[in-house]
Amino acid sequence: MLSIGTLLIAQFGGARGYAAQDDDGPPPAHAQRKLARVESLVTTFPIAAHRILDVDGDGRDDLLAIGRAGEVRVWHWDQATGRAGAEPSGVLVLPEPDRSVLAIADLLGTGGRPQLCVVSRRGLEAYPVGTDGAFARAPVLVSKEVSLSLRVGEPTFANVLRDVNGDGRPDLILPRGETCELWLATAPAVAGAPPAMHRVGAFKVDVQRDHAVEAGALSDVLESSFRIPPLSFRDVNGDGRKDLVVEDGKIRAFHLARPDGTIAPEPDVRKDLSEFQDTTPAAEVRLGRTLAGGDDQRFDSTDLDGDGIPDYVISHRRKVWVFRGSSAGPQFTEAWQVLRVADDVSAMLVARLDGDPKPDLLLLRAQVPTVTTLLRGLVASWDVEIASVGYENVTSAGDAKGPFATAPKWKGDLALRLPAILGILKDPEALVKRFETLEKKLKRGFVWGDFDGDGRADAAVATQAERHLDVWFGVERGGAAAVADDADIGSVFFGTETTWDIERVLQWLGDYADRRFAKVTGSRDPSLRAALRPAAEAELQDAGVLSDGAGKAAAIVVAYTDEAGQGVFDVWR
Amino acid sequence: MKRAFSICGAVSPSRCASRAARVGVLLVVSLVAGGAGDQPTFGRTTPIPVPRGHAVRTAVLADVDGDGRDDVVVSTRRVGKRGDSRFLRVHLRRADDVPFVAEPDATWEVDEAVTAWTVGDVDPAPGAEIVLFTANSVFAWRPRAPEGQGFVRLLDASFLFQFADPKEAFAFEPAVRDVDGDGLDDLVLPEPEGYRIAIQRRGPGGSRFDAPSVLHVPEDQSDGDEGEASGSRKMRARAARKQLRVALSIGGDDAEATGDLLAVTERIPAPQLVDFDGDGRLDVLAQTSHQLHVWRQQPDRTFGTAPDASYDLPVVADRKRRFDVSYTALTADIDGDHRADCVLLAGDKNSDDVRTQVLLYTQAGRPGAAPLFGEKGLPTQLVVIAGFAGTPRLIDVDGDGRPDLTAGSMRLDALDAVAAAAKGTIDAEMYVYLNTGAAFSRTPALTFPVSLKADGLRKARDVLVARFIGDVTGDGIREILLRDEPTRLRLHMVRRTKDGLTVVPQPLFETFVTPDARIVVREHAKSPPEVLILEDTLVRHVRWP
Repeated sequence: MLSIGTLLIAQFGGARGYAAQDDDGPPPAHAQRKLARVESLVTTFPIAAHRILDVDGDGRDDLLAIGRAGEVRVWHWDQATGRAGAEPSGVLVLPEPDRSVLAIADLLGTGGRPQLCVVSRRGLEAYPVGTDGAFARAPVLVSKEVSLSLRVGEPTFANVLRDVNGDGRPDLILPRGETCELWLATAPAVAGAPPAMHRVGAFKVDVQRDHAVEAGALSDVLESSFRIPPLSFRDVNGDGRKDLVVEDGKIRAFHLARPDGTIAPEPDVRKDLSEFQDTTPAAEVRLGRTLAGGDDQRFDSTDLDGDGIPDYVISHRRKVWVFRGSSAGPQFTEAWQVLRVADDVSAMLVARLDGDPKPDLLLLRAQVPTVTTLLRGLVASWDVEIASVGYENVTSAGDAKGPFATAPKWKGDLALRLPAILGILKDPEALVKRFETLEKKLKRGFVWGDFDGDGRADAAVATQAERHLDVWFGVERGGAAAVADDADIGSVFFGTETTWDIERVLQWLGDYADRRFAKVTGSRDPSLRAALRPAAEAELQDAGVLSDGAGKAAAIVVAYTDEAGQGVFDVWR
Repeated sequence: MKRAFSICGAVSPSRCASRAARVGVLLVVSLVAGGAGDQPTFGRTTPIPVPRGHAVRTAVLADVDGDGRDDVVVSTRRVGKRGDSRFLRVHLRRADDVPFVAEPDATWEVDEAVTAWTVGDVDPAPGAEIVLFTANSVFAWRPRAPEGQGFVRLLDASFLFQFADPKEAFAFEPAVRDVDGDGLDDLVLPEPEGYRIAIQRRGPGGSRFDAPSVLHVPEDQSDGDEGEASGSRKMRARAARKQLRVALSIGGDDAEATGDLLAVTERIPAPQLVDFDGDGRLDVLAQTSHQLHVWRQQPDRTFGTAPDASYDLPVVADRKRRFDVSYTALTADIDGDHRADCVLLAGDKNSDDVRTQVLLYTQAGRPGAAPLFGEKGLPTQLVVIAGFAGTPRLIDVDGDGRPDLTAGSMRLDALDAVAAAAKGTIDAEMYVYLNTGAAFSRTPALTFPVSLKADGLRKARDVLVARFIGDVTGDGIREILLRDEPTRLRLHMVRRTKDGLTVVPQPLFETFVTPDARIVVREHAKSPPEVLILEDTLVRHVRWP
């Protein structure tokens, strides 16, 4: 029987594939190997999300596709043929697709196959895997108390289920608007029952919201948007348990995790940053300039002395306070060091400025033109002047004097030169496209796997701009992370280049992206290359690796959406 | 009094009689009533302070008590130790010389679920109600109802603006409109996929909004690689509102893992209610990137889910065009045939000089299978404005009953910029193109220079610089409200000359406003307009008797 899926595969060329060594790519090093598109899977519905994971617990990865109308379907790969059937498994349709936040987790504590967990107005539900290897139609209600009131438009994966207290059970972080609620999962009273969810409290998060309500013109667009950050968990007392850190405006609150896995709803340490006041008057700025960033306190936190416990740096105007964290947690009563600096601080960063691994202190004073001065910038370029000083981290174990040298080791002045405003207004698209090109470069994400079965890590990238699928054999996994993000900051602020225009900024960021990329690939040409679908045919989403369950990458799955919004998955081997 | 005579003297003698008397009398009254000495004090200002600890967020003029005169509803925010609170305060208008007092006639602490509000007559009780919008419902607050009966649920809906801001419940006036022309307010709600239009049916048991029409806006074709796909809800680069955000993530492989827990963007074209086909009923128009969609109101006062017609736009409103600072599309009946026409303003990409094209499309000009835009998308009229044009409006400036085109323009070359930097001001011009019956005048009937003071612009929260508001002097011609300096608000008379229109230099009214003040204008069909000046702790009501 010719199925709809088969027809759709035929429509997209099926197993015809794009052979490696296309005309537009360099010849691969592994000339004897080729990438072949062996299969194309197409959903029969507009797609909202997909995941590659082992759904049925056979050790091999499957493809989970979620439709915008709530369809949940799973493709399994046959071990013998190496192919997925044209028809996916599953009959589940989520009842509230536009209000469902999804996560994959073993919420029911079966120790086996994870469930599709859904938070919606109906509560927190877990859909276990059925006999057909797909998620069952009937959910297990874990908690009716936990309900999501927000509309998310379509089924949306979010990192709402994670083990925050290290007890092995996924806990719930529930977005509630201005706050996120933390619900800890505990063992059920009756064996086999769902876990009990205990609400710890609601914690403020810095929500960004925006709305456009102008409606008088045909070209007006009504828009509503919001972004809810996650709750922040990090070990602030070195006990190995992640503690809850809440940022609420100028308030910093620390909720320490207890040995029994609980987290107190009231903070163990709470500090209002506005208490840190430098009473010296604000410094003068150059005529026609104004200090960027206002008169607020700055706050940063990182481990300064290498004891594995974060320390804290706070600045206001010309004063910097450093507080040492300990096994008792954060404290803001006894300053480890107080620095007085010459200029008002408009930005502060604790980052590596030299070759050693210890983070140093970078203080910036940015002056921007006043509006009147800026009028000249309508037709000519204009500068943001940034004066910077760097204090070296000289701390050693047990150092009581403070982590930073009392005098700056580095000083620099640079100008960020911005283009004429009228020039931007005439053709804003030109500038935007350059940033988007850079963004694509920065977003090049590797997928990892042992594609050739030699036991070494290989990497693959589906590049948006060039529409290539590139594979490198035998790479250094984690190499990109070895390019320390802050390693070059010192060279920017204290280097020989003192004027940074947009060209130079883009170049620097592009070089950074290239360095990260080259750290993995060794600047080699790809071992294999294949052409992806043209942009006019389908929009590239991402690439993922199918594991065969024996440690080998069975295939690379490149995901697209077509014009109808359907999910298209090309399987490359 | 010399100033009063100079104003009257500026008016055309042939049209002066009753108007001159009115202006003169009003000026005398104003001065006697305690105007600011030698300053022009044509208007009357009434302060409406808010309690200590409250900050004014927004305000609306509307007739709440049904006495035929507008009252003031103020939305405030109070910052307390336990967080923010929001309030709605209703100030009913008094019949005496001081129309508003500080003490509100009704106050309500806004429920945390309410995202927006407006005023509408949605209940048989006398006067209007405060219409409240939450993510899922529409309610009416009846300020004068007995205890326990103050709130009425009107309708379930998926209101586009679902996320309440603890600092402000914003006023959303487009949601209430008499759609079917029966004199009763109806509801027009934007939803993520389209619009929900609920017609009010009033019977012995009260008002009902059941069986609403649900209009679905078709997904437009994607802007492809040059922009986000239509229908996509989560975007890193957004251009729909001439605004762009590009997020560059620098970090390790797990950079995405440290991103937002949840990010949602929902948008829908602003619906325009106009009579598209000349049948006397309001239809709904909505513009997507490539098409204009039309839902015709049926005789039974309903609308279909899918558009009744869709027309390809002659100027595609893709991302590139939406970055165009001049781009605006407006709709109104320009040629008097009772059918909606369309006016597009767009930067001329083919010109070396900065200039804006005004493209008029009339249905009469393009009859046939592709009305309005025609088969080839050729305009009925093309007018070119030098510089970046903006803030266009279609309003009847000269009182002939036909909508004229007003727009501002800023021309800046190198010399202008040097001069601007030296003076600290930016020069712009306001234009009025009069409606000639089938199109607009080829040249502006009024060109009014506006010099914007740059200092303080950064603090200014309001975009009002110059706007034609209703007729104050009684000559049938709109006046111009000007805020070319952040701290000055002035009203200038506009009068007719043999060559067109002119602005009388001496202001009719002038007042100091704080730099961050916002201005709300309320137009009336048969009486002079009124203005609210929203400052942090005070709303000032200005009227011209």
